[in-house]
Amino acid sequence: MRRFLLPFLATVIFYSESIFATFSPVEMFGDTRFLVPRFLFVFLIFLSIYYQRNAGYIYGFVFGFLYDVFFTGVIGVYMFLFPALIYAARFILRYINQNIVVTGLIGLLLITALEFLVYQFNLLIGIAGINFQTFLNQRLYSTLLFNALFILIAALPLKYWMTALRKSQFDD
Amino acid sequence: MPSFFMNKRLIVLLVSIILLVALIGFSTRERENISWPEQFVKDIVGFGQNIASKPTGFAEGMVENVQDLLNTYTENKKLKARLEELALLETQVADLTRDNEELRAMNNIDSNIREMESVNATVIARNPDQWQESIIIDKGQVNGIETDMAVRTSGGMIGRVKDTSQFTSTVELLSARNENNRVSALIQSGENNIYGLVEGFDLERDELMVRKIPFDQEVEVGSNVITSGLGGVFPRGLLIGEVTEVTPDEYGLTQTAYVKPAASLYDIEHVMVIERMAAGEDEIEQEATEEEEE
Repeated sequence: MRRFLLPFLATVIFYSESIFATFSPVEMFGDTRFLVPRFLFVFLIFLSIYYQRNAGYIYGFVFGFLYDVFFTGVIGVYMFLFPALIYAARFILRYINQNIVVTGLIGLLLITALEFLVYQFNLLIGIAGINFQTFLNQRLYSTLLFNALFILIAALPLKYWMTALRKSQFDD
Repeated sequence: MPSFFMNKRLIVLLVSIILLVALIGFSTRERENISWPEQFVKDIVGFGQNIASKPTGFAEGMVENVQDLLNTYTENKKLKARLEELALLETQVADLTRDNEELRAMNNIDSNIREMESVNATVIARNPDQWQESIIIDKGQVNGIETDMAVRTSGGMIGRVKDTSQFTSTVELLSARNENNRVSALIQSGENNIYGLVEGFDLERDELMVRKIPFDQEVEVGSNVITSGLGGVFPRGLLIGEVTEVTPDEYGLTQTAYVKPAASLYDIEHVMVIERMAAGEDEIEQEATEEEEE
C-alpha cells in the first residue's frame, strides 16, 4: 500500500497544476499576469533531497515526459529540464548546509531557472514572442510569488512525510 | 582518450542532448496529427485528467451559480427590454431563412459554406506553463473530431483543433503564436463585406489582428468580424469579434484591424467543435484526382 503512495501523490500534484492554471492569468497592478504553477517541480526537488536522489531523477523524467506529451506537445523540454535541474539542486547542496529554508530558497531559484530556460527555448522555436522585460513583468514575478506561497504551505508537510517514508523503508 | 569514455556523466549528458534535439525536431515538425504512441499516452493521461477536472468543474459551477443569483434582478430588467426586439428579429430570421432556401432550391445550389455540424465538449485542462495557448477537451476521434476543425464557445470562435487522440483533443486558441494559424475573415462594415486574414495576437492589447485588408476599403470601428469560409477549412459565419481600431500597416499598402475577440480566450469551460459540411479544398482536390483516374 505504502509503495503506491508516492506515485499517487505525484499524479495528484501533476493534475492539480492544470487545474490551478485555469485561474490564470489574473489582472494585478495594472497588468495581465500569468501564474504558472510549478508544484510538481517543487515536489520533485523535495523528493530528491528528503527521500532518494534517484527517485527524483526517475520521477522527473517520467512526469516531464507526460507533461511534454499531454500539455505542450513539444517532447523533450521538461523531460530533460526536470532531471537536469534536480541535478543542479543536488550540486548546490554539496556546498551549503541543507535545512528547510535553504531547500525552499533553492526551489525558488530553480523555478526561476526553469522559467527562464523554457522562455529561451520557446523564443528559439518561435512559440514565445515577448521581450525579456515583458517576460519578467508578466510571468516571472507573479509565478515566483505564486509558487513561494505553495512552498510556504507545503514545505513542512512534504519534508516530514518524505523523511518518514524514507525511514520506514530503511527499517524494512 | 580512455578517461573521456569513462566519464559516465559526460556520456549521459551527450546522449541525452542528442536525444533531446531529435525528439524536439520530431515533435515540432509540420504534421497532420500526432503519432500513435503520443495518442496512447494522451489518452491515458486524459482519462485521469477527466476524473480530476470533474470535481473542480462542479465547484466552479457552484460559485458561478451564486454569482448569477446575485445578478438576477438587474439582468432581468435589461433582458425584458430586449425581449420585444427579439421576437421581431426571430420572425424576420425565419422568413429570410425560408426565402434563402427557396431561392437556393430554384437555382439548384446544394452546397452551402454556412452549413455545419457541431459536437459539444468540455474543457478538461489548460496547458499549465501557458506558453502554447492551448486547451484540452474531452472529445476525440471516437466522437468524430478531426484536426483543423473550428472550435467555438457560445460567445464566438476561439480556435481550431490542433491534434486529436482517441478520447481527447488539443485546441489551439486564436491567440497562439503560430505562422500557420490563419483564419480567413470577413468584416461586416456598413454595406460592404471586407475580406482579410486573422493573423496574430497583440499580447499587450489582448486583441486579434486582421491583416491584409485592401488600403482603399473603409473599415468602420465597431463592425463585426466573422469567418468567411473561403479558406476551405472553417464554415462561414462564426463570430470572431468586433473591430476596435484600424491602422495602416508598416508599408502603407494594406490595413490592419484590431479585433476584440467575442469569446473570452481565458475563461473557457464548454466548447463546440464545428465541422464544415461543404466540400473544402482537400475534398475538391481528392474528387478531381479520382475523376482523372477514371
